[in-house]
Amino acid sequence: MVQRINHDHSRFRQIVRGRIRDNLRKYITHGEMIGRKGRELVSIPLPQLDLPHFRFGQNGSGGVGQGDGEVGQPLGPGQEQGQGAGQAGSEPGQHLREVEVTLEELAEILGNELELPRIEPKGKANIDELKTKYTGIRRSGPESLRHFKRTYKQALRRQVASNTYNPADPLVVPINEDKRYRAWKSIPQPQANAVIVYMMDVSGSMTDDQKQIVRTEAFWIDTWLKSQYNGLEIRYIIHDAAAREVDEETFYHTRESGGTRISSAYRLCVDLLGRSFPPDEWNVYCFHFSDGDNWGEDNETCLGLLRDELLPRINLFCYGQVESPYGSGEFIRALRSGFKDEPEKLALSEIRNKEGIYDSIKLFLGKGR
Amino acid sequence: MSLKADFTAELASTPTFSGGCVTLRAAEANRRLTCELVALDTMACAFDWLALHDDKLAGLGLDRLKQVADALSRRLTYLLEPITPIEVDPQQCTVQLRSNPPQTGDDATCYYELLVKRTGEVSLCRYRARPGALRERVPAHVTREVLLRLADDLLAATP
Repeated sequence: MVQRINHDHSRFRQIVRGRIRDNLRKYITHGEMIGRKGRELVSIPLPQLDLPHFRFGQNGSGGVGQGDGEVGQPLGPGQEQGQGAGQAGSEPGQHLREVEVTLEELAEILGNELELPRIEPKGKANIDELKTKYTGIRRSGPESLRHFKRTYKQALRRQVASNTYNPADPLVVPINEDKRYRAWKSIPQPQANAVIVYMMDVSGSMTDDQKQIVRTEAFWIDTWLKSQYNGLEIRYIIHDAAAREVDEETFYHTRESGGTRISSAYRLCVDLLGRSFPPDEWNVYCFHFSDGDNWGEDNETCLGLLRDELLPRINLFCYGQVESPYGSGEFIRALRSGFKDEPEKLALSEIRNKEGIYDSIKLFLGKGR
Repeated sequence: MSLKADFTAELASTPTFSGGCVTLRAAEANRRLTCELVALDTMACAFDWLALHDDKLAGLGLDRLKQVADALSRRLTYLLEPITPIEVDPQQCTVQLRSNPPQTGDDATCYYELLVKRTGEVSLCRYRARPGALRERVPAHVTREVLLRLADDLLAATP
């Protein structure tokens, strides 16, 4: 029988999902939730009404009592009224409750809301990888997998049957025949591998606000692609005039003062893919974010690298131009004129501010590649 | 006569105009100061660019160019916005300084850009960037005194 609590919980999840769906655009531009990303769960603050509930008072501060006192005599000294600083506010307060949703749920909501097409993986989708799953119980096995509850029940059953169980002294001692162990099964699962290469311009003209936009967008891209692939590798490249591969922490928190040479990142990306991710085995996604303030004649070099080296070996190349305070980024224009018939594998997006992230994600992931 | 005095005399001898452009030039042994004016009246002027070419700058290392850029940043405090080094390109050996923060209006962002190059050139321009359009160079409006002070500071900041 389904318990009422299960029904209520499921209804609660439905309401939460509906609320997330309704406010998805707000949450996408909301950078702070990413900071609270756990291993598998994401906390999302939801506005809500406070339901009335009992609250315990302070012990000994009142109530009914007996004793020698007279009628009307105070029972205790009570609390002195203090003078707080400032005045009471006149605006209503905000009630925020945090709920946790799994990344899979979040990806599903994102996919439905943005109408993202499912990705058709290429490469190793027909190669099986063995996954182990606990499926049953057996009589032998390593002690670390002993099923204590089953073992206890078996021992109890034996003692009751052999009339050695004494309810007044309920001591149950398992013997070897009582021991039960978890059994596992290896299940073949089709494996599709994907690699995301994030590239970010960290030159002097990229401010912290711009990097926050990149971080937020990368979180949602990760969430979606993780829901589409079993094995997802993520690599990070930062560049100013020179490029290097870094870890996630460095990727989001580095600021250099060098000039912008985008070709350095593309060259390193080509090397990385050639070295570690053969295109016939991996689904490759490249995301590059910059303010587009590329120096000198570098645009031509970038176009050449993209056309000849990168686009032939990847599923999708996305370039997001985050508007700099100077509004002077011209690289996206160079890409548009260099690839006039904008190939299927190329997605270009101008992200003017945080509100632009939603449309940018839709553009990038809407290609379904 | 010093380079600054030459430049001052050149500016003083140029008749007022609006429309078209006039290039002011002053030079001494290894330095040339050039300014392309697009308007000039008795009190103020508008220039498209102001450049100093100094042979002593040519061939300097990046660190030395950065010092020049820092010196310029400290001196040029009287323009519409403060100017600070933004990017350094080691390949072209160039230091880029820009207004920081730039001037942001309803429909466009305007800023100064000053480049210190190893070719020996220091140049100052003003740009305007409108959303969705290429940035364009726009005239920088300054009084005659400010233009002379700018020229003086460019000369003083270089070695």
